[in-house]
Amino acid sequence: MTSTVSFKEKLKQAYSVFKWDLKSCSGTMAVYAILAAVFTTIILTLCLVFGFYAQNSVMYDTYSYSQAISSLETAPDTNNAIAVAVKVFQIIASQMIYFLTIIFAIIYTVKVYSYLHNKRKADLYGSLPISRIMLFVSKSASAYLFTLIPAMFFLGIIFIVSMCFGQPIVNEALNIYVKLLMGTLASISAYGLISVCCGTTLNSVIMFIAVCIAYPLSAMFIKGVANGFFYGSYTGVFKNHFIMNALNPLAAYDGINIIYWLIFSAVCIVASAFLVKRRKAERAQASFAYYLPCHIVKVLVSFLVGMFLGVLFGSLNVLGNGYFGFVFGFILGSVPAFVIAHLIFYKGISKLIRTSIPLGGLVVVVVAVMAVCSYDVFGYNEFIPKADDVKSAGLIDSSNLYRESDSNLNKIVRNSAEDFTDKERINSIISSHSSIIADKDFTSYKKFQSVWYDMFVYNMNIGLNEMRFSFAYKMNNGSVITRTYPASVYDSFSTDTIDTSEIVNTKTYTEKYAAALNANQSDISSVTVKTNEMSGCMSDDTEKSKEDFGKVVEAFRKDFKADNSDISVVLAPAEDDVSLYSDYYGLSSYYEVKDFKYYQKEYPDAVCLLEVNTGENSYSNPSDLFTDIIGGSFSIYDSMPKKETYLIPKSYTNTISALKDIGVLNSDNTINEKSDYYKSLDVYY
Amino acid sequence: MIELKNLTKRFDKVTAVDNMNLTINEGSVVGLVGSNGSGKSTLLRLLSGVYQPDGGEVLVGGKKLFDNPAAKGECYFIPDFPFFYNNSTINSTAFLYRNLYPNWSEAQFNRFCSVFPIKRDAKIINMSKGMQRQAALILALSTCPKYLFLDEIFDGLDPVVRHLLKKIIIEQVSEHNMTVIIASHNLRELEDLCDRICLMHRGKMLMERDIDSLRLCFRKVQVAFSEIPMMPNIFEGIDVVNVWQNGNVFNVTIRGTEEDFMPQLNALNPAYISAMPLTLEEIFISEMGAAGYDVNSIL
Repeated sequence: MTSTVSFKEKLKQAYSVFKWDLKSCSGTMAVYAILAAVFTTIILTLCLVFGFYAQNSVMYDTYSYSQAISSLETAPDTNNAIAVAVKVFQIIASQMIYFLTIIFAIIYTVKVYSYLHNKRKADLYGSLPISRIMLFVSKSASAYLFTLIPAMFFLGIIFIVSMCFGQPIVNEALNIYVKLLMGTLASISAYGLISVCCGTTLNSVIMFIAVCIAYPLSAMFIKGVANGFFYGSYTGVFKNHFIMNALNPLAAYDGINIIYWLIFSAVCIVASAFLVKRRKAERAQASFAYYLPCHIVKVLVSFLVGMFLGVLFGSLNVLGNGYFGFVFGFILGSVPAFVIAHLIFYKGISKLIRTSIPLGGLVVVVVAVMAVCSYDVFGYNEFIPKADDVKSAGLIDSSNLYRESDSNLNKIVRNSAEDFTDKERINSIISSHSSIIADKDFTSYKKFQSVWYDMFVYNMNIGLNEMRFSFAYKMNNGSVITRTYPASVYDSFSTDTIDTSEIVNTKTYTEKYAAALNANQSDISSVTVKTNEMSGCMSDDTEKSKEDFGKVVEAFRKDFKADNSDISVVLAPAEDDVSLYSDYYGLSSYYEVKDFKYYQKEYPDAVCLLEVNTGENSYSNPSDLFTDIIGGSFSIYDSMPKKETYLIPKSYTNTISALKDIGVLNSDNTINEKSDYYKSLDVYY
Repeated sequence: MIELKNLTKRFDKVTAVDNMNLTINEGSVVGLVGSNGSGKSTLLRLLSGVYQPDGGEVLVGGKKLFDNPAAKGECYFIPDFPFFYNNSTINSTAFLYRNLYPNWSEAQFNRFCSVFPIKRDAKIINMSKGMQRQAALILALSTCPKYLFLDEIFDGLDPVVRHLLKKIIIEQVSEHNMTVIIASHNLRELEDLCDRICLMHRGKMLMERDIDSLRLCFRKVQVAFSEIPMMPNIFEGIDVVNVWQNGNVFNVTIRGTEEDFMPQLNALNPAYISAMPLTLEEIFISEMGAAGYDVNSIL
């Protein structure tokens, strides 16, 4: 009874629909092309003009551009300001294309899927001799290609222009390709699914926006509650985790969690294809064709508004009790939000009562969960193990921890539980732990206040490490208990009053967590050897330098391993010796050691100081420059710059020998001022 | 052949098409008439595969139509308000149909573009209602459909184009054995064009008959009496659809032929009697009145 259409015929049909949509979107594409061409030209013109001025020292007083010149001077592959200007053009123009493409992707997508939301269009497309799935897939492909092909074209032009000026394509600009490919795919797939479920374009757009905003904010609230109410819990693992943006397809434009977004897109496309085949054409211009997403969005929005008002009232101690304030605020926020969402989606109050069951469930669950959290039913917050119950323990001080940017801190902390087995050190760890929570105010409104802190300060990574002290205990029964405390301005303890030196200065700790002993050679940004503050020998970016100083680091590791002393040679300056330096952004801080002569008095056999820097801490590529131009204070670093300084004693013969081999030290162990690596260090600091 | 078997379509609590059964032979021109909201447009959307039936089935040429591209390739549906994109022209729309409809004929397309007084490169959206319908007709006829479904197609067409359209449809039916179903309130046009009429009301098929037999089946009879017979029901035994009395004169709509009712009427000794066939509109009003849908019951 049914006839089939060959695959070739199907492709032909899909191509026809694509070209048909192309005609209907041609006006929008023309606007995109004009804007992209004009903006690209403007950016190129400005970059070249400023580059010319900078090269001729006309505009050195312009802050951002003076940074460009700094970049120029440090970058080995550039030799004039025009070169930097072209790189800046490449990055800014790519970013402009990136944002323009996102905006137009939304326009194309809304336009292409509107065939599901208009009765007259439904008549046209419904009667066409093309299967519903093929039509939907063709439409999706059209939206995807309309978005990407013009973007790729203009990005290609940007790269060609850059190459014409003799500049290579920078990674940041190339990454735009990946971001657009991924973001467009995820966004179009998600909007397609929402469109299939909705009866009108307005509902689809509102629902898409609601999901994109409500989901990540709700996730932030949940994470904030976890951090605020379970003091010592560690949720840093969720930073940049897909779960924080799982239903927000716009997050795919970040170009991270690619596997997740591919799966997400595939699921959306398959679900859309399944639903579109069964979708009733008469649902065009009705509120919804399928109601499940509507319920999800209504609950999400209610949760978000409820949490906002609840946490606000909780933190203001409304009703004299944080928890009761929260309950009052949550109900006051979530119920009206639910009703308003219903009125918008259903265009009236029909089915309001019937569809309110999820809201009731939400209120009950949230109120119950928050009661458990507020009253710390399980005694999580004030838990400190008894020394007798602990088999082994570990402590990690983030200011003395090297780890790769993609490493899992939680795993490192858990593994540290077996670091120390002697009772003395276990007691020391428990003592440090006790002093952290001793003065902590555990009243519920304080916990609500810390939720805001976590959401708006901690999540934005402004000027703070993600954690400061972590404790791990392996109990006699084999279970591992961990606590991680942030260096929060909101915490009662001061990082200066927690003395961890007894643990941190041990050889065990240094061997496991010091950068000089654990970092990959590629992550070591510089090595400096010095005997005074103002000058010394410092590695540079040449291959020879990397090889030379790599040998020094290897020799140091060998010496360190052979060193039998319990206390390591890492200089942990005493409080009165410390000078605190901050890098430019205030994103990190590090301790600067005193002059070498100061240490020579205490350690007469000291030969020199070996300083090892890891992580990126200089404007060596245009990406940093661009970050600076667009507002670097909000930029996020994956790994913190880290500096470790070691006192090299005479017993470290391998290290000293390596330093002599590369010509940094003279035969009498003094600094070789004629070495190629010798330079004044005051500029560096 | 088009077959409807227990066809049902519901919109929430409203049953637009209610358990309908119908068979339409190839090469026939069927008129769908009925009250507003009787389900005519819904039936056309079911026939063209826009809607999926909630019950029963639609077989067009022996094939189920819903989401069946091969079967849909032989059908074309012009809805009451055909959709065109803002920048669509006849040429640009033809581009889409060329690859989608297997029977697309370039010769027919060129022919109809010259027959209908309409520019093929003009934006359809800027045209008048009637011209938009002509554009839709050009595209429809160029796909050479075996089954053509038209909803209120005469709406907005001037008399010349209406005449032209009827001529083309008759030509296509006779030359290509095309089956046409037209839903319309313009009964006069249907009367000229259709060989079969289906009367719908509240989702049900009230009546379905060849137009010739339909005309033969009803008579408008005027009977005048010098003295009205003293009987409780003077038309007893006659299949009367409607009676209207003005003094001694009765205007009666009777289902049947003169042979059926004349002997009985003559037996009443009328002073004057005349019988003539009904127009389609008169039949429609009579039948709808019998179904409780008349002006008197509405007012």
